[in-house]
Amino acid sequence: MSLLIWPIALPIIVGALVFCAPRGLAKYLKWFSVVAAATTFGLCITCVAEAPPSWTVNGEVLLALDGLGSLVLLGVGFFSLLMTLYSAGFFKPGDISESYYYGNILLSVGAACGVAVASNLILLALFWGLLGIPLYLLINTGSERGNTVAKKTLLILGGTDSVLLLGIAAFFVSTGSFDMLVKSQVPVVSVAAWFGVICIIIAALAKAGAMPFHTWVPDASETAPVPAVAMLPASLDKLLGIYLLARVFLTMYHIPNSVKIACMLIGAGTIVFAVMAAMMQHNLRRLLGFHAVSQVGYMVLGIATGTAIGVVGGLFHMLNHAIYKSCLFLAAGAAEKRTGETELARMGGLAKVMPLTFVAAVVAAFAISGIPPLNGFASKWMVYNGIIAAKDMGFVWVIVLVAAMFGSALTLASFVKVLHSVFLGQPKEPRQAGKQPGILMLVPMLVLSGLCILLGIFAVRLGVNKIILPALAGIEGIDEAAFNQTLAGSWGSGTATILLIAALIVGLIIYLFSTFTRAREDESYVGGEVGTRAEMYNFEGVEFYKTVGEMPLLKNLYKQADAKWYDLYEQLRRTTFYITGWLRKLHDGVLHTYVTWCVVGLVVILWWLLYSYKILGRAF
Amino acid sequence: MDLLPLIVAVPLLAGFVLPLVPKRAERLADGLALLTAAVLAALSIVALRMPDCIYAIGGWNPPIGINFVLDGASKLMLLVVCVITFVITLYSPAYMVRFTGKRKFYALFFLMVAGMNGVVLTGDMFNLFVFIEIASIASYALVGFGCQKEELEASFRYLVLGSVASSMILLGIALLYAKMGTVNMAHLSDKIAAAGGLGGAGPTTPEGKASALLIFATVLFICGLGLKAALVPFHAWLPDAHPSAPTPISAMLSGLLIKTVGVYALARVLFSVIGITPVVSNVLMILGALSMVVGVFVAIGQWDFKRLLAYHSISQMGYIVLAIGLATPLGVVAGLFHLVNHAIFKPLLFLTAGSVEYRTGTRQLDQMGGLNKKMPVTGTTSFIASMSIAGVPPFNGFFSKLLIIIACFQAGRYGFAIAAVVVSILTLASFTKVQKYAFFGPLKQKWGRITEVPATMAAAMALLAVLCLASSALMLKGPREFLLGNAQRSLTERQEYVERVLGNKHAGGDESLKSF
Repeated sequence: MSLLIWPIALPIIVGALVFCAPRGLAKYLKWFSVVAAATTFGLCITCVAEAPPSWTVNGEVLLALDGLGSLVLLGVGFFSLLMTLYSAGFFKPGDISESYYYGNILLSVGAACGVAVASNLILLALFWGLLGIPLYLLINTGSERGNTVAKKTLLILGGTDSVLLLGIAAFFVSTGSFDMLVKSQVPVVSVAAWFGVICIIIAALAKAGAMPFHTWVPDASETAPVPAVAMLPASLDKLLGIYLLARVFLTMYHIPNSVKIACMLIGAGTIVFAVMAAMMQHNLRRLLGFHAVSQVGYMVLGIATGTAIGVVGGLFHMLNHAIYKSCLFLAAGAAEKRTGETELARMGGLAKVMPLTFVAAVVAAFAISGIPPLNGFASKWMVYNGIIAAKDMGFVWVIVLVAAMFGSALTLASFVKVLHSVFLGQPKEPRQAGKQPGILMLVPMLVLSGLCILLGIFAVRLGVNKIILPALAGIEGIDEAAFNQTLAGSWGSGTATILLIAALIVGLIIYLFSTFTRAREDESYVGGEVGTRAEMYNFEGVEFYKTVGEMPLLKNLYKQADAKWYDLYEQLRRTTFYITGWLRKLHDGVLHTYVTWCVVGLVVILWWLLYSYKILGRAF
Repeated sequence: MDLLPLIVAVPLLAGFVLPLVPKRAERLADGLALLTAAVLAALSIVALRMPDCIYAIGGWNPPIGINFVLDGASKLMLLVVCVITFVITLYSPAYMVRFTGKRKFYALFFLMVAGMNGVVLTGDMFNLFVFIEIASIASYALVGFGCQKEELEASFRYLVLGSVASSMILLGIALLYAKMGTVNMAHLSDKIAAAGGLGGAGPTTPEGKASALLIFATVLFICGLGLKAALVPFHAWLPDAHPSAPTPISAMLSGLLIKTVGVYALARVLFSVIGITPVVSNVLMILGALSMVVGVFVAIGQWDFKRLLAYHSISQMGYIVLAIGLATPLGVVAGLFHLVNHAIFKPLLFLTAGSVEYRTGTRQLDQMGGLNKKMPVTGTTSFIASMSIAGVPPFNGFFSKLLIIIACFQAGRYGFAIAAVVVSILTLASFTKVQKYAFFGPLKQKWGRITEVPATMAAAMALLAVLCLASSALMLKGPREFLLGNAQRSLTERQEYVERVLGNKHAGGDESLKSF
């Protein structure tokens, strides 16, 4: 028994207990779960710190921990703890069934830890698939819409899980082993190797939510409870999906350029199309969900370049994204709890009533938009550098680079809308006072936004040198030297920070001075009539962006997207039912037909056997 | 060794004694039925621990008399049949209250069990046919047990197509007997091997005619037993018959009958008697893949809960036949593993469908909705079974599908592996549909007053749900070798089978008949 088994076993066992907990204990369950999550995080740290020996049964390594696994394990433990903490503050008694919710949360924590420490691919697939069940149950909390979305989510994740099995079988045929931590670097020449690469990449992309397997992310973001969204699609699923992708690229296979180019294009496409979809959203959670898709593009792009800095940037972006995206979802949750709304048009002016949430949201929104000196900028910058360093792949790099930068600009545009509609502007209607976010909700948000700043300012010194590079230890060609060599046009985060702080101080001074000359406020007159204040000052962020949807080329694109032309799930569903309809027509319920089938079957098989054994030829 | 006939005799006896219980003492009949099933389950577990052996009925040694053979494959099948029968018997008393003639039901039920156990144990071709007929005829009657219009129609269709299959099987046996002069399976196997069997891809016997005869017999077995196993295109009876039967019988038919009289008998005849060749193996794989694909595509469009499950049975049988048809050691192990798993989750699915029907009176998925709130045990167990059949970890279906895919890859059959994955995804789609419409979502107003099913029914379902998780352990090396590995060897090692029955002196020669 290795220590490694505990971060998996503990949350799963406790989760099972929580599931079965009698109703009388319901109010204690949240504290119980917080303690369990904290203990799990502690166990994750212990595992990473002590580097325990791998767990081997019958000579087969089942669980083992290396650099990359440690990074993901720590991430899983950390985000799980924060989200459980937030959940404890978020839900009032009676909002949810505690045993159902926390049981599922703990189950997903255990499964996610399992993916991080699994060395045997079968075990990995087991935890990988297991993760789908709690997500399904968490989305499925009783509403009609939740029911539909849960089905879709499980189908996409479970379906690609089956594809993963195909990949595992192919990997086994290529290497003769299920151990994925061994650096096999299978050359992709045989059919089996091609199968392996493509299938495992598909599974990784679906879990991370990249296109074209992304459609479950916005849907799930819209319907599941907010803390669950912040935990699963926004952070854990990203960590795990990108983790597997990195494994395929770095250790399991020797990836040929064609696959790299394909993945880079997928990444670039994901960035641009998802962010364009995000711009048009009017539901806050759905909008964030589309951004969660768009950001995956950067990670895929970075890793697919295969260059030292690209890979480091991709993994760093994975970490950063988990931080700011979960922070954004948590802020959205706080706003939703305050107003009872998720429609952007009906929110507004929340900065005044929830300043701390606002601060956290602004930091995270700037981070996701890639504004220096925050962490999102640092990792995007590295990804750009990685793309430039991958020049040997032909002209693709230009397209990809342009797409990535364009996407970043649109992200900013989209978050300006969010900040304006939710936090700034005028409050829409006198709302019944919802609850202020309590300390349990604020702490996770502030911790996450603090990390955004910290990892931004000390991006290289802390983020890359202390976190990402150690995780990549032992991977050929990726070390500090290679990283520094390719970091073209390095930007001094120190200088920038000083300048930025200076600018902030100047701004503060101007603001203070301006308050001396207070502007006169008065009724406004339009054509001799008193204009009501609400009409005058109420600019919804939503309206402006609608004009984007009216642009000539984009108009059709958006219209088709609305009709689900680009939804792989919908397209496959339609095809399936077409075939089903045709096959059902054959089953007409007439006994004669059925007997005829039997006879025809008999004749065909008989002919085939006689033909194969060369008796038919001789007889005639 | 003397236990072997008991495994067939006990249910046969129960089948004839139970209808004699007076009508007022129906509780006694329930108790006796449960006792019989428990004894059978115990016997199958005892048999599991016995060494491989044969039992010559009436002291007539093979190849003269009829003999029972206990080897790895029959032990595995006995265990599956008897344990699942026990759980279904536990479910039956409460469920069957709404039918009249519970005692007649038990009589037919145990006749069917006797037939299945006989098929598993017998070492004689004609005896095999007799047991197949016992099980089948009992099942024809059971399908029509409700005596409603559709049930009788389904039963009639089943009867007609079943008879087509039976005549094919009988004709096959007759041809073999005409040519080889024996119906003892081991003896036949020995003689066929000596005559060159089906051979490779060319005439291996001096007389081409003999070979053609053997081929015809083989095709008759594939089609006849394939019909019993509901392989496409011989499947058409199943989607009518299985949903029409009372629920415990649906579970027995889909979970056990098509496997014993279908797949097991087919594997026994092809592997142990005729000898598998690449051509036959191809035929099996294509039949399997066809069933897999056609079954699932039709299933996904169904709204009748039990009918949907029935089509999935076709599809899942396809998996089993595909894997066994690979004829590699891993393929056969994977097929048997999936057979065991399907024998657990499919009865469970039928039982949950029955429980829903028991309370709501409907089988239409779109009439249900939100039942989890009122029937938590049914909902949870059905969720577990759905995840099992869809191959979601950590339930048993995941592991057997994984093994099947690996086996396909190992044999270089990439196309079949892809088909298996596609079907797996569609299966998941179909069962998320079941979960969505029946159990999750808002509760419909009209179901506001329903309650959970009686305790015995709930216990039976819970037991199977636990087995869904527990049988994942067969993936571990120890249990896998003990149950599946031995079963696989007893099927694929043809010579060993012959020697086990006839003894060493008979192996490899045609001396056996001359010595008499």
